[in-house]
Amino acid sequence: MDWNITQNFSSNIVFGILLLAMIIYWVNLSLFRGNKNLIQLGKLSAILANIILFFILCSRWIIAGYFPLSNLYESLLFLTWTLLTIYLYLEFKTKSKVLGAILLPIALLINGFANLTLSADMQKSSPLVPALQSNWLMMHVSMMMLSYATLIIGSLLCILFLVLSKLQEVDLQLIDESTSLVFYNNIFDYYEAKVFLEGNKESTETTLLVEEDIQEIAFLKLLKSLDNWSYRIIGLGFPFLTIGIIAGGVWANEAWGSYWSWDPKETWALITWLVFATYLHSRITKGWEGKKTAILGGLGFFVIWICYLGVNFLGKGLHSYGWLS
Amino acid sequence: MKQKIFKSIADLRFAIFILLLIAIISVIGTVIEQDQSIETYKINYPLTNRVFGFLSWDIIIKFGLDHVYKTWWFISLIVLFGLSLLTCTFLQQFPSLKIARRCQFFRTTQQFCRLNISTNLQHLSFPQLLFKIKENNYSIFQQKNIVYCYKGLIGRIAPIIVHFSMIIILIGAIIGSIGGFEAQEIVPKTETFHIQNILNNGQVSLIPKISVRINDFWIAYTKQTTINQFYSDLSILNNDGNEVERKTIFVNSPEKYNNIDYYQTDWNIIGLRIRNKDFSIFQYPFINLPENTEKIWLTWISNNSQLNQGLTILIDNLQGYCSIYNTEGTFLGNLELNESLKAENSIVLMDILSSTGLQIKADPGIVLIYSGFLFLMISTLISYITYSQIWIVQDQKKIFIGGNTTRATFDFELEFLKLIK
Repeated sequence: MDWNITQNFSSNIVFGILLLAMIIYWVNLSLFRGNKNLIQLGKLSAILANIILFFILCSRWIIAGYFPLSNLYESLLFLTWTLLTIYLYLEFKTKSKVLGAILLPIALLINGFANLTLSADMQKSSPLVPALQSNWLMMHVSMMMLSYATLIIGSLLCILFLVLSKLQEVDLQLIDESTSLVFYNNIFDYYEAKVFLEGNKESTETTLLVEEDIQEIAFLKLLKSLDNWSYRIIGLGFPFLTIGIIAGGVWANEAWGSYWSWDPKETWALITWLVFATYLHSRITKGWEGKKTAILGGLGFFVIWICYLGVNFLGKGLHSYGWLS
Repeated sequence: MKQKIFKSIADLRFAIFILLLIAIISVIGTVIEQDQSIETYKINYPLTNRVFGFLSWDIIIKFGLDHVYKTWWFISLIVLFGLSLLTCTFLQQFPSLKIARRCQFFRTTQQFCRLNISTNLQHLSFPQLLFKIKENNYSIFQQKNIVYCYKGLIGRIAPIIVHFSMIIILIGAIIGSIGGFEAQEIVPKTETFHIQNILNNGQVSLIPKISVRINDFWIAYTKQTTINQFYSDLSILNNDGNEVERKTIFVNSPEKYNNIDYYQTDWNIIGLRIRNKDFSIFQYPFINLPENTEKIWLTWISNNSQLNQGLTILIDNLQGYCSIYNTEGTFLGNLELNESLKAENSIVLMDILSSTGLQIKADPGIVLIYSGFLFLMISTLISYITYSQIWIVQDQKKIFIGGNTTRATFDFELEFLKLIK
């Protein structure tokens, strides 16, 4: 059995499944709200794609004899797998339908780029060059991929926050200052009681008002949760990024005696680190909650992509693939 | 006045500003290629056709943009960053840690209005509530009817350690650049060298008088004839020339002796030994073809004493053969070691002379840097933990309860809801 053909085939299947899952989530969000079967189908396809990706990576590991992170193709697959795994865990924990609609397109794009744009030459696994024959390969590259995945998810949520809050000018302080979740729960009870007790004697005007209020509260609540989720996720991705950069530095010191050489890739990783450090510090600055921090988080999204792919394609140096040099 | 300056440096907004400033300046260093010769900049950033409309090589040289990360203003930015870290730790983090360790009881019910999450209960009894809180791993302090609980204090201590580890890393880097050195040596197989080709050193570096002998150098190839690994067999000699340490190094496995590290980083083929028909042995030097990113070496052997006809020999690996071409450039064949060429000029390939490239480094600050790294990794992870506080005041039949948290507001709200159910 020619493993290359099998892997290629399974990779294309993953692409197809992710496409299907993404369409299901979008349809579910826009047209058929709350259709249980559709939601289940979407979730199952995402899980299936994740499992197939896992098997592709494992088979590459077993056949080539080294951890599957030695070239661009493998790192893209690994990134997709990490993204999907974290996304599935988050969806399980928060039971949100919005996450899938945003994250699956990104996973699809990455997978599509890996399978359809990269040539077959770049996809096959070749023997490791001497510089990569080290246990640090596993530690450094996998931590960087894991941190990229978490930070991508976190910054995407920030961008979603910005987009949603642009559609409707919001003041998050409203929720903070006035009352709390507990009070809103009581408001729901209050309105529920009002609607049921007074029954049909309600004039349509008052009922509409109730619905609008609840909608606005729910919207504000969604925004606040997005804000907090992105904070927590970036708060987790930042230590991963720190560990990844430090592992890279220690590996460089063991390999050629210099733990930091201002290589473009290293510098951009540091820039990513600085941008997300700024994000985390802006969260505790008084008066900067909401939009300002989300702008920093959204900026981080683009910085990650420049750091991951931009440097390799556009620059020179240790990490370059030399396409445009 | 001094207090004011320190306070402004310790301010969060200043920290954000300086972080972003360092980031933006670092971008410049990735866009403009660093540490190249002036000619490269003259070619790529000419005066007549300015890049972006204003950037040319004289601006680059004037502002030091060809070595951004070593300019005095970049280094002073980093020093300012370190100062900001220090002042923030002492002026903001330590005081808040002191407050956090105290029991901050709420004694009146008015204070609950300030909290984001607060309510009053009537359906739970005091002991029931306290038991539920205890189940969630809070530390509980009680004074008659007022209670203060907190959880996750380590999430408040960790950011202080983050700042300290970064300061340790910066200090280690300074010590390394002042007291360390970096050298490169290309040494032919079987020869001995002293550390002479110093690339950079600091103001107080000590270059030791040590000599090293390369006993052997070889390359291991894979079945697909790509390079698998480079090996150098080194012996470190003392002042009398006796061997004190011997090790085979390869890429990712350096030799560390006496605080000096030897890394395998490069290689070169320098010559060929040929035995002629009359059993005389000649040695021919190889030259490396310039402007070629791959490593190919070239030499020429004459067929006659007028030196106008000969064989061109190309070699690109250390597998033990070379490729022979005649005067017209036709490929004649590969010649292996100890094989005789089937031609009029029947030479025998005796030996391929190679040399290994070593990077030699000493860094006295590496211990500090590694410990800074370790603490930074651990403390950034622990900083993820959220610090939650809950206050309870019992006023006759009503229990006032409220809380807040530093990071995980959503999770804390859910936890709070479960507590008051």
